Amino acid sequence: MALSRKTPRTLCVTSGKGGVGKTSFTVNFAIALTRNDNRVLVVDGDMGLANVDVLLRLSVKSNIRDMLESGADPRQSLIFARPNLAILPGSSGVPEMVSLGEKQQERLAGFIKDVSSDFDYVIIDTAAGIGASVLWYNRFSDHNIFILSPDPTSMTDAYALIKLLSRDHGINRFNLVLNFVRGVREGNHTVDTIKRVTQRFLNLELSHLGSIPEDKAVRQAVLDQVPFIEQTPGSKAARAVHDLAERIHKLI
Amino acid sequence: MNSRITTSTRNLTTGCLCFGAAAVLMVPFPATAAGNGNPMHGSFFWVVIWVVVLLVAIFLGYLRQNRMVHRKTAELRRELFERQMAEKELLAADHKLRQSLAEKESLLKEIHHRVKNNLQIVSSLLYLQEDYMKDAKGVEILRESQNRVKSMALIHEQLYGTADLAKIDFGRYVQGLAANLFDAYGIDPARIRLNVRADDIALGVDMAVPCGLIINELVSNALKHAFLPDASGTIDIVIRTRDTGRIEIEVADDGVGLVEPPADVEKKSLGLRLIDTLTTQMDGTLAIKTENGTRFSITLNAPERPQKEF
Repeated sequence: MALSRKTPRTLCVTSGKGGVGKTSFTVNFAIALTRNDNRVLVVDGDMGLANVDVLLRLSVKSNIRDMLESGADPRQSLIFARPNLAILPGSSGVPEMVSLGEKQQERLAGFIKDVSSDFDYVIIDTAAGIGASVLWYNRFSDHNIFILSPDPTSMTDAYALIKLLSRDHGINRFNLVLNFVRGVREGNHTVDTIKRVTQRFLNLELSHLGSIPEDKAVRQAVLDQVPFIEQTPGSKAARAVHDLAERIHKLI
Repeated sequence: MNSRITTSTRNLTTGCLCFGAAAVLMVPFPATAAGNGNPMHGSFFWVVIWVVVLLVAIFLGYLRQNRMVHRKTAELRRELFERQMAEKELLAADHKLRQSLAEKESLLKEIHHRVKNNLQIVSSLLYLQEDYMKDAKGVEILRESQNRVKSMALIHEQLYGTADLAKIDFGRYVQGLAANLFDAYGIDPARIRLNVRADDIALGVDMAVPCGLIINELVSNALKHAFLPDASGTIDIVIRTRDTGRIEIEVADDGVGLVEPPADVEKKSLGLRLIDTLTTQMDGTLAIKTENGTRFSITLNAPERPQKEF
């Protein structure tokens, strides 16, 4: 891989609620971005329950925890899952990693910046909830992608996180991607609802990047531990992720 | 746009199906359709046609209603979500306001506490200075000043000790104030009895301080001059509200009576001058009766309708 000194674009995939398909989206979206010869680094930012490696059937030797605690070389921790796709694995089952202290955050920022210089995109898959690491990753990134499903609880949690980030962390730009959408009407309805609420109470305009339809191929791919964009490239979900990758690549 | 196209396509399909069904039904009755068959068959044909038309109309109506139900459900869901968010926002705002109020109350209590402490320090300093005073008159003046400062300290003490930081239960305050004065002048409560009768009156600090000073002067005056050294008697303090919204403060004793106070302001004691000045400041009137002792009656304008807020 040729080295590039261009500053990579950092995107943070977040949601508030768990189970809305953040990790699955991150992995498939990253693969879609590599199609345009982009070099993509996926950081598994779920510090407590990481599972990007599970979705890609990867064998992890060292992860973010080892980098922070034992001083492991970040470049040695990278796993090249595909020719243009590297994964920086997160730790799993380690409660203390969920809320990093300021010094650890600074060190982690240094590690990510150090390894990301070789890439065009850094995509961070955050944990669910509004933990310190989630907030920090959102501040650290250039752009955010909020994944939400038409479920009201997903909208409520996304709204709560948006409110927290805009009120306490000075973030005013939020991009939405809808997942598990059953029909155009349901997608529009969900987007309208969350947009109206954020406009009314937070005076914020949200940007809707696109929607991924509900697709049986996605569930099957997760069970098979294969990205659906590779397992069923012609599926509705795969086509939607490709469209999203094209759009985001042009936008940023 | 897409949904509109889909709906039109669906309607067209439904229409074609209906037409097809009607055509199929017409096939067995070509003669009837031509008007050459049995008239009974002809009526049956039209009944069938009407039934088909009716069924189609019901079906289309059902589709339309179904679509409307879906649309309304979506609208209601959105409204419900917005209301839930609005409720959450209101709760958060309410919590924030309560928190802010609690912080301010705590701060105000702390200020009243410090004011009371400082006033007590001033009172203690005056007490310490008594030791350096050889002149008995000077000692008396210092003691009177101590009592005035204490009367003010008592207001702040009562304010930070109660739930309402803005208003003071004036009856309770007067009871405490008079007890302090009895203690300061070393009066045996069995010899001179104290009766305090007060309506439920809550006063703000602005009014409670001058009223407290006035009562301090009147009670001090009665304790010092109204009774001979071994004589017993009674001091009555009455505080009541008038229908006009005014407050009446009455301090009466059954002692030896009052020598006519000098008309010249300069010649009056500091206590009497204070009473005059403070009463005038509060737009009040002062009346003195000297039958069977002395009765001071002061009527003041209450800043608002007096009421107790607990």
